[in-house]
Amino acid sequence: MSRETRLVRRLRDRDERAFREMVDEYGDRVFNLTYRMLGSREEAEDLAQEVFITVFKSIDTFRGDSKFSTWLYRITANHCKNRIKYLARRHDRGKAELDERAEGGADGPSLGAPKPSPRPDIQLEGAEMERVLQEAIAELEEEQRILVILRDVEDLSYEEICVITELPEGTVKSRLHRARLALRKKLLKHM
Amino acid sequence: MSEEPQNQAHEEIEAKLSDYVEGSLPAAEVTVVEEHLRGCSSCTEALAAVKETVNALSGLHKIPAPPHFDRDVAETIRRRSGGRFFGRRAFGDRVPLELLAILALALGLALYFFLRRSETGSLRPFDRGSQHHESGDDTPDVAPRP
Repeated sequence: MSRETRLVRRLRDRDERAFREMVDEYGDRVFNLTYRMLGSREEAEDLAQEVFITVFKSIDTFRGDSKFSTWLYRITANHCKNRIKYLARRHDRGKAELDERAEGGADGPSLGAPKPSPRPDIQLEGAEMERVLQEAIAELEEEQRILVILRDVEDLSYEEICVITELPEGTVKSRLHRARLALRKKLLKHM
Repeated sequence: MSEEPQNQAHEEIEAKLSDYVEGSLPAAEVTVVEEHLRGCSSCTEALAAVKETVNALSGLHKIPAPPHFDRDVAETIRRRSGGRFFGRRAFGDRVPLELLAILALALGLALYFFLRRSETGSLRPFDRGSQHHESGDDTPDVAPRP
């Protein structure tokens, strides 16, 4: 029996230690995905919690047709889509707080704010690039966002992305290509 | 050459650029794309754009979950469920209650029909000898003695 199968079995038994092991193993990946999708550390943390609660509540529905991590990503992606729609309804999307790695996040510029002047320091240029990229990602359509993040940030295979998005491979590839070009245009606008 | 077939060629090539960058394009198509790129500045620019975007995205930092994230999630679950969520499942959780109810009903019906068919009206089989033996010590024999 594989480690993953044993973990799933223990999760079905509502074993708290197994639950902690799962969060320990997948927590960073889920959090990174929610953060990149939402662009806010606070929203990302709240949503990542909801993802794990959903996993724990619905573990009985996991049939093992795909890898456990793929199933987990699928739940995360669905939660992200729902949250984005919810935030858009509340007109919060444009105000979503960007977390500034270098400056602590809370005081980071909002979308559309004038960009700070470039800094000579390479580290700050890197942080600046992160900010610009995150802003550009946040402006993508929700489906384009999930595709570029799953493929180019999380480095998932097309096979996994097809399971997560429930799209055929050809569609994933063509939409991903369009998403990359759209992102490029938005990047140029921000830079 | 008219503009329309040219546009079509650009679109076809551009659709393959992501695969080309990722190295997942079949060798024959790689040749076609590279031939086109040699004479097409707009597709060459599109290729550079895809490459730059993919590189920038793959260079994004992985943001770790906050410290004590696992504890926070476990506490949320415990709070929402009133402490009943964790813990090994009871028998009723492992075996569906519907199945248990059907089994109980079948057992009850079997017992009912068995009792109805029983001559004694109990689970004990009819045995005249043993009945006589059980009651014989204390009750007089009603049969006339010779």
